[in-house]
Amino acid sequence: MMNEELDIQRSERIHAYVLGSVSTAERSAFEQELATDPTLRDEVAAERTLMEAIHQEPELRFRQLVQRVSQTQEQVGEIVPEETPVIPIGRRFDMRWMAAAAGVLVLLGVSLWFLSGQDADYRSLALAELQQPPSATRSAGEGTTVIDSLQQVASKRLQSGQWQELLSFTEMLLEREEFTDRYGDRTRLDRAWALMKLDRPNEARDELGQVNAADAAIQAERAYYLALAYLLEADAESAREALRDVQAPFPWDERIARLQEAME
Amino acid sequence: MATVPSDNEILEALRGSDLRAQERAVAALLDRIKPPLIHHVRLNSGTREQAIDLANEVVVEIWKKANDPAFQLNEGVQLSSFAHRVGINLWLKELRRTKRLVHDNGVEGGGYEPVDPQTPEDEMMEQEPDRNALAEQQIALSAFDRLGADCQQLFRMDADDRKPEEIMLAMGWADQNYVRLKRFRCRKTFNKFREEVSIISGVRIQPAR
Repeated sequence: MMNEELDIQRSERIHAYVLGSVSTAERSAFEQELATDPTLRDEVAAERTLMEAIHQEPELRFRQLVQRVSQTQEQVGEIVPEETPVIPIGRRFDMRWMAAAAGVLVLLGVSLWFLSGQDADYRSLALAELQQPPSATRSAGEGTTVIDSLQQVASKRLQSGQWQELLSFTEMLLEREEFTDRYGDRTRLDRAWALMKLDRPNEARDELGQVNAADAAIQAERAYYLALAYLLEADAESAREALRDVQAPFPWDERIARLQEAME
Repeated sequence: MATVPSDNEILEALRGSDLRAQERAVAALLDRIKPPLIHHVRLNSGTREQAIDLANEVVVEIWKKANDPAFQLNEGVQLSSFAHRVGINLWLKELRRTKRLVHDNGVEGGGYEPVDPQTPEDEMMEQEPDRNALAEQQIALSAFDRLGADCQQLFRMDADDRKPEEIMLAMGWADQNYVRLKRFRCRKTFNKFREEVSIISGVRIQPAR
């Protein structure tokens, strides 16, 4: 208790110093301590950074938004700049690009027109399934280690539908071996779900290809997601194949049965 | 089909509070400035990744400008042209910073001059963001986001330099000692989150006690 009171006093001194609400004498004494106490310097730096971050919050949030949008563009290849010629300043559109884009749109329209009603139904079926909660049975990361805590953050992003944030966050997590060892497969499943919600079934399938746990529930969930990814592309045959002979425990047995029935 | 937003629509969306509209404006702006900036940077000692960072930074600069009531694009100047010039000048600064540009001696980048050096785009660059400080602030904000509502509100009031008695009343706490105790505990939690975020983001910070 005594120790905590001392810590509180120290914390209050740091706070007062950072906010500049100390007398000249107090400041001078504190700065003498700072010169010899590296831990105190770190604590002051942390406090100062927090206060600055709060003051700079709108800009920092906007920077996050820009980063997110820019990353998404890079991931989906909206920008193809490697060999793109410099667009002269002041010339906003190149008519050749416009013409090419128009051509693609016409082709897309024609393709859509040729899609049969059934194909559209398969896609609707996947979209309807994607309205369900993603993974009701998985824990949100029990335990109290840093790794568990990171999984809890990822899980919150999944549950709150922050798909892009989930993808950026888990990309970093999957670079850490200790995280991947413990949560790798379930994280890849979560990423696949997020990718399907963003209508990127190809990438979702790639993600699912890296799930390799022997656990029956994970395998069933993987098969179910894989089927959804195929259905998003109206590929019912591959979806059926993905679900063939899957030994699914609850609740995946119900979800898979429902999906199989709907595809009949 | 979505239409291409005009310059004014982009600026309006950037200064507004509608996140969706902001995202669309940022995407439209990046669409316009990324390709020429990537080309420019690659021709001038940089990589594609650096060009993308540069384009992102340009968008932030435009956002700041959009929120400046005094800002107005000169007549006949398109936003993409303005942004491109900001980008070129920012890249020039970056080259100077990393000493990849040496003037007047024919070494790499020699003779490279900013576009229209007396324009307001230059003035915008006077306060170059400190990247390390920015990274640390981003980490701090991510850690802050994970705090409970009480801690967040307490820290916001701290940043606002509110007095302990004001905080006590605003939060409905019993006494000022509780404000001190709560601040101490919130800071401990914050420091723990900050370390975790730093680990996953790969940005080194000095752990606070």
